[in-house]
Amino acid sequence: MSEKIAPFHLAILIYMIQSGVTLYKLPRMLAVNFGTNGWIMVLIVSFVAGINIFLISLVNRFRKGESVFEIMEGLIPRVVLAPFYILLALIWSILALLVGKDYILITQVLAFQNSSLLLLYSIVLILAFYLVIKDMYTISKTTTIFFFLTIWMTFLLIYHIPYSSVMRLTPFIFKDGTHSIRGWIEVYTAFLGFELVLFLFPYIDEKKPKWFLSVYVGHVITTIVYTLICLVSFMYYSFEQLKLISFPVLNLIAYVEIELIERIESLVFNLFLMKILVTVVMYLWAAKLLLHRGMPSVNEKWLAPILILVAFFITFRVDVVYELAPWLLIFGFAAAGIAIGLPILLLFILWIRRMRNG
Amino acid sequence: MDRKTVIWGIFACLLLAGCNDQKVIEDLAIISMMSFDQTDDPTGDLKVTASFPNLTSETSNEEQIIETIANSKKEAEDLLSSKTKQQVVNGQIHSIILGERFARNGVKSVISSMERDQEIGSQVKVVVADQEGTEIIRTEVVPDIGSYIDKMLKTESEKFTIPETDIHHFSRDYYDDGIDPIAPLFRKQDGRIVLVGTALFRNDRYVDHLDLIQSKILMLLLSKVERSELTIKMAQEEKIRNVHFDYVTSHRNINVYKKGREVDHIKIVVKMRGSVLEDTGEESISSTKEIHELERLVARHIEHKAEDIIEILKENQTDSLGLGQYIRQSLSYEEWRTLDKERLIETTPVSVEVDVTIKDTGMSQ
Repeated sequence: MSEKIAPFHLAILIYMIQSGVTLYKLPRMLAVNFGTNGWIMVLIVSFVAGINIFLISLVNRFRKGESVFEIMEGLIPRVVLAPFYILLALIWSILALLVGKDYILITQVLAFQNSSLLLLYSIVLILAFYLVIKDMYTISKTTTIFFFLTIWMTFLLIYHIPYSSVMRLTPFIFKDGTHSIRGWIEVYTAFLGFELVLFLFPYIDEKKPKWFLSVYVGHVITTIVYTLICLVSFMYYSFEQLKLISFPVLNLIAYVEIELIERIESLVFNLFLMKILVTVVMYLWAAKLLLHRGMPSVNEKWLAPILILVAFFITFRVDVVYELAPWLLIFGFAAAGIAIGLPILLLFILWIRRMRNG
Repeated sequence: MDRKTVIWGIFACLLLAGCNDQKVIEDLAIISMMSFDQTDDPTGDLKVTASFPNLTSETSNEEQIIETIANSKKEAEDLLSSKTKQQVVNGQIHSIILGERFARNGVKSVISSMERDQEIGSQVKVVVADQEGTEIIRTEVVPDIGSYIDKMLKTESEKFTIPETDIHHFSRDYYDDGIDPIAPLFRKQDGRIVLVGTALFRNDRYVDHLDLIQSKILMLLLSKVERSELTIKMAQEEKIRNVHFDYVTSHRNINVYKKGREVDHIKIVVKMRGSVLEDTGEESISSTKEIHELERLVARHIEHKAEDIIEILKENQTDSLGLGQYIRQSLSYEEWRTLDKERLIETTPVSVEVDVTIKDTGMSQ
């Protein structure tokens, strides 16, 4: 077995999977769905996600050094589980590709309008492909580098402080929002990614007994970054204005004017690719793992290309922002369901197994 | 194919992709400034004038000015394009000028078009002209009018004479129900561009303006001011006494007083600190008593000016000071919803209290 992921790298990995393209739209989503002072909702949703992580930590506590697959196959035969694995693999790989496409579509709102979507999209997929065929340790190391290349962007928020005002927050809490279930799902998907830790169990350096804490640490980093960005957005934009801006975070970055560099946003937008890439790669990686378990006869080398191609053709026709939104919602919803359902299922299986044995 | 060829192939594709969306600068007509005016022309109601600094020849600094009539900003850009051999691009606009008549009829259409346009950054400055906006662009004193006005705005807003207003500020205040937008006001005078003061908007309509001195006081009432100066003229026995007050800091506080559930009155407290650098008065200022007397005089003077401004705001029912935001802060959601916001400023009594501290009197007593 190759080297294992240290807790420090795990925390970073979790953060990088979680934060992705949804961040661009998050402040508007909050304003539209939850109304005034919607940024507080980040903390509430983060808490719910925290409970979700707690469920996963319970799975980790009750398993006896087994992987997720071994837990499930301890009760249900692999043949029965295979379709379930393949379905999960499909959902995750489609989600990954949708996220990638979303990023490219948003980029094309700003630049490269005349380049073909397919070309830019293929570049992202090729990069993702080259990373996903590496082993977990390499992916984690790459992620750490990406993390340091992108985390500094949060500090650009300092630039916006003089333009922000507490008065714009208004004293009203969650007024004027739609308060829909859809809003909850949309915001919850912004936190998704931590569920992949279920599949990382065998790759983690478990010498430190409290290693699971680093999942929480990663989640806390995400929460802090999200809260800061959303809070500043709510103070920087007036409420009605925020509801109308498609990508508030992009506008925030574009407003930064530094004497030394003109148009710093073009640099920053491109660095965002790294965040997206980690999300895409990790979901594909987990999908690959599932497919391998579901169809062990297929050569491992072909799994990643198969998944990418299948998902690519399923989502092929989705090429405008407004068509993509419902797709993202549906697959986001499915992924949220998996994030909550899978740990519960695993706990249930562990419980039944214990009952049988005991 | 070995691995190396594949990698080099992909590398080449990545690099060559950069050649796909290319723009040659000589083939572009880069707009540096645009003005919008109302017209009665049958083909459209918007007269758009754009200035293009000449980038093709190094020797001449001549700029090109093209005018067209359209119904919207984007249509105008299309029409401008047909009047030049180059492709018109708007990514480098420094500022837009809103002509007086156009501004009086509401500017929302242009502002939201600017916001939607991804090429245009939200730092594009918004300026109002006291006459036709095209007049300002057609000023021939300076080679590149776009960057000239840009510099002028920067220096003046750093001196806190005029508000710093760009697309973002304008639309932020437009959409906020507790404040109305403001913008700098320009005029062409004797062939020069002159800063006149601040244009006051009610929603997206230009309603009135303040002169330069009032505009400085407006800045004091609006936010924290870091460094500025005021020349105060006071009648003193037949003569006029000039006092030049150079302030280093000015803080503003707005307090909303309620009677029961109703807003009773608003009090704006401005605390200023600075030095007196010129005084044409008869006596020298040396004793503490005289200093305090002078402080009082300066404060009264500013208070009077501020009350005049508030009178102007009330007449026009415009909330340029963002008092609505402070009222909103003190009310519950239902109270704020049911409040008559149109008449809010008109009906709420506002008082101003200025507190001046003279920290020194310069190099002489």
